[in-house]
Amino acid sequence: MTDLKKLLDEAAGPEESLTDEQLAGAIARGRRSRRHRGAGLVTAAAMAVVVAGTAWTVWPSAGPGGADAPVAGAPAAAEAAGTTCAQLATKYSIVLRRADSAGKPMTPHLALSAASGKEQQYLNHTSQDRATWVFVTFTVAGSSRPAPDAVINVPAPGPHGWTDKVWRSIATTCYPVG
Amino acid sequence: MSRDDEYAEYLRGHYGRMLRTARLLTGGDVHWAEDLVQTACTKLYVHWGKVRQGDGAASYADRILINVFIDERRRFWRRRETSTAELMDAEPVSGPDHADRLTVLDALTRLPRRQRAAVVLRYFRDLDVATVALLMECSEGTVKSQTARALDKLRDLIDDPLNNLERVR
Repeated sequence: MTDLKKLLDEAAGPEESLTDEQLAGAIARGRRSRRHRGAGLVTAAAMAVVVAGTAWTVWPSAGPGGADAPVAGAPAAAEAAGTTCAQLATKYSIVLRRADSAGKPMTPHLALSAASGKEQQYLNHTSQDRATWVFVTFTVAGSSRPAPDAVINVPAPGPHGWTDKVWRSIATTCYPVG
Repeated sequence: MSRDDEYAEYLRGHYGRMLRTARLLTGGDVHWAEDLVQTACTKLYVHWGKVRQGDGAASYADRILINVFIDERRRFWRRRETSTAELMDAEPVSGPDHADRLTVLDALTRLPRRQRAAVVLRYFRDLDVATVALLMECSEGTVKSQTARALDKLRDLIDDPLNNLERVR
């Protein structure tokens, strides 16, 4: 080991001291690099703001209320705004069911039948969002009729129906507990 | 004391050591060694505020130097040699035995960069395994294995002087 240490020490050559010129150069380069770094950070921040702003404007789910948007497909503006519970019931056939199709008693749940009748969603004690696989639990009010005058903002259901958040909003607005 | 004064004071005290380390890392390529030290000094200046507060300037400078050296291979556009009209070879560094010096430097250049860095830090800078691992941003086991491999190769490359080379400290 001593040999290697000695060999490396010799191979490294003599220790040179720093000249004033080298020192001035090092400081000047450092300052320049620092300035460039600062400018780079400012540029990067500005770019990030522009990109975020663009995304906010262009991409609906990134904007305000994005989480309430349907799982897929943007809602039509007219459908997304101010709908009464009665309208909802007419358009999407929201009903409170206490039994399954075979007549077997079930925990009361809200059901949505699309106009075509092909798509159904259920709001049960445990509701499952098929798109995001999030399980939520909440209680449905005892009333079988929705509050007719309540106004609720809901988007049109996407290919995967409404999100649990939208369902929760419908349940609490149209079928108030108590 | 201003930031620049502190930086200058540090550099005056450590520049020589950094340059010698860089010379070994580059296998005696004086220009490349100066480039490495210059880059390390510039980065050190940029982060001087943070380094100064932590009182770890020496360790930070070493880490920068090693990182610059190891990472440089990723810059595919780098050319180690450029054609110039005039010869710009630096004066050879004088030493007690020029032949031995060249042999050692040549042997170092034949080692992969990480092994070279491990050997230089362990045996030239006399740093322990833990510190080298910190500087090279790897595990202590890696430092030991890299050092052992490097020593094996060096034994083959530099026969006589390293016969009684310790295996791994």
